[in-house]
Amino acid sequence: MIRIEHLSKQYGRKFAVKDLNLHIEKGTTFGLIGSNGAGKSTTMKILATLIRPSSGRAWVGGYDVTKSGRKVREIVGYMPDFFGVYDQLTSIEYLDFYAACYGFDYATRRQVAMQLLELVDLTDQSNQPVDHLSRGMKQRLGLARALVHDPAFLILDEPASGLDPRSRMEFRKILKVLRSMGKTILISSHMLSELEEICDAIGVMEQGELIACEQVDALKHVRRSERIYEIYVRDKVEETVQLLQALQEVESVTVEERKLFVQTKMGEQSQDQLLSMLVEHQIPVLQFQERSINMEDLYLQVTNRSQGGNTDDQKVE
Amino acid sequence: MIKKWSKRWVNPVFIQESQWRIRKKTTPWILFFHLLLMGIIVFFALFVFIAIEPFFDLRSGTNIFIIFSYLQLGMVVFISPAIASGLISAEREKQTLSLLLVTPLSSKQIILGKWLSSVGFMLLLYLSTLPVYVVIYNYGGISLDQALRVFLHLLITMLFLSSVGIFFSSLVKRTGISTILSYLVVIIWGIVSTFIFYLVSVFTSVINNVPINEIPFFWELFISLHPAASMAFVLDIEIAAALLNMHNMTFPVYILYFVIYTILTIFLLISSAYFLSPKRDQQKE
Ligand SMILES: Nc1ncnc2c1ncn2[C@@H]1O[C@H](COP(=O)(O)OP(=O)(O)OP(=O)(O)O)[C@@H](O)[C@H]1O
Ligand SMILES: [Mg+2]
Repeated sequence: MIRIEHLSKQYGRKFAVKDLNLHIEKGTTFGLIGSNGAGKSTTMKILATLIRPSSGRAWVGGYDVTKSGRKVREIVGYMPDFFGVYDQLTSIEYLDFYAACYGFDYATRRQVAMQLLELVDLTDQSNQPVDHLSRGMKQRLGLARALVHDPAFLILDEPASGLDPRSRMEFRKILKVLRSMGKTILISSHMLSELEEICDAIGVMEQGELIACEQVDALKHVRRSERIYEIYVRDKVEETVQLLQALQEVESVTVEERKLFVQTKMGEQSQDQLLSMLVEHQIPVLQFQERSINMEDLYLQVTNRSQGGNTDDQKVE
Repeated sequence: MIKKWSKRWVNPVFIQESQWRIRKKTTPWILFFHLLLMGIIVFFALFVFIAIEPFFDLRSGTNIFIIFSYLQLGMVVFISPAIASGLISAEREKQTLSLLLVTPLSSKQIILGKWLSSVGFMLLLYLSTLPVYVVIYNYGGISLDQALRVFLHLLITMLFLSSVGIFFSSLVKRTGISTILSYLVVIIWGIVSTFIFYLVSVFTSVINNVPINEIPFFWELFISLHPAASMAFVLDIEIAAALLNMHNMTFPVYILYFVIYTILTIFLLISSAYFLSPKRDQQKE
């Protein structure tokens, strides 16, 4: 569905997107994560034909985004990271207007608008002026707008930013419906936790480059085989660290005062062995527990590995 | 067949913009005050004429028509840029422009829709003064064909100034700057050019040692591009007519005005569409 080859976008000397290669299969949901200014929006705008790339090529549904812009626009539904609203229109007129831009006749337009309002659960707001809607509602209306022409490919730029947890969940529910309709979706976010549930694959962008690209299943697999133990000792911190580091399965030990974070490749069975070993050496263990590795840790690991730890402004929930 | 035709020509941007303008609460008031203002000035002129000459003749009717035509021209020149210069930049400020650009509408269609809506509103303003026309017509002194020519002149001026506004609106980001630039063009076009023309004609008459009213032919064509001057040609005012006789011209000079500004309008619209499309982005680098 989507093919991106050596795509770059330069602003002056600065690369907003740098040599991006990506392939998204039809029907899959691809998540893009990255910190502010990583180039997510720029990539999406290029795919939506709003920006021309400086070099490289991209195809949507087989159409070149720079050469067959019109064809691309017909199959792409783009939801930007802002919601442009005409304050003089009501929700239904708003959808009606965009449907008209796609060349639908009056009867079809009304029908489509009502269906979409129902999909995003805004039916009772249909006659409200758009600028009276809450942020969450506007965002859902924006999604409905992107769907007016029933596009096969959806580009959603941080669709859930600024939403409260409840609205976020509702939004996710709508996305799942869209996914089950067989749409190909490209979605961006700062937060991995938001994407892992709805995406099939996830790409990490950093300073214009795609530095990691993984199937979500594979990431989950990593999670199953790696473990972090949190050990709280009363004393003998140094000794404990040495003991742990001597073990082959232990990958790293981080110390925070009297708390130790131990990253291992051990299976579940070895958990008690580790504890008894510590007790044998008369380490005063106060607490011993497993901390589940979440997607955020993995994400930080991935970004740290390839960027030398430039993740200060990473917004982690 | 009809469906296909309408699909091609019905411009949703134009329809939406016009609907919004018609629905706006201020619109009827603007139309009403426009008519009121025009009416007051024309009636005042009428009273003055009647006070001066107790026997109101055809010539006074003509003079009132001339005053009214210039009033209309002033309105067109004054209002068109104000309306058009915000049309694209406001979309940009409301962040709805990229939403429009991702629809299959081409940037040409967007520009055309916006431009037509602005011209449409100007025409509405023009039509709101029809009662005044009826009154003047009753006093005599104008022919229908003259009124039609004046209308054509006003229309061409509207089309042109709206395209100037649209052009700046798509060129610069902020509505304020776009409006200022549009008015700057209007001022240079309407006022500065008059001074330049005056200076040059004084200069050439001094150099060539000819009376100031004997203007070279080239310059005459040049003044016919001035909105007020060409309106004089359209109205067939005496000086203008005398000028034409001087050069044995039978060709109506105002046609030049119509042609040149139509071409300029088309050029400006095409450039506006160009600045709107993402192509420009690449050119800039
Ligand atoms: N019009 C522009 N002119 C100059 N630089 C730009 C322009 N647009 C984007 N950039 C730069 O390109 C880089 C990528 O921006 P982009 O908006 O794609 O990031 P992003 O990943 O969407 O970030 P965010 O999470 O904040 O939305 C940024 O460093 C930004 O400064
Ligand atoms: Mg962004």
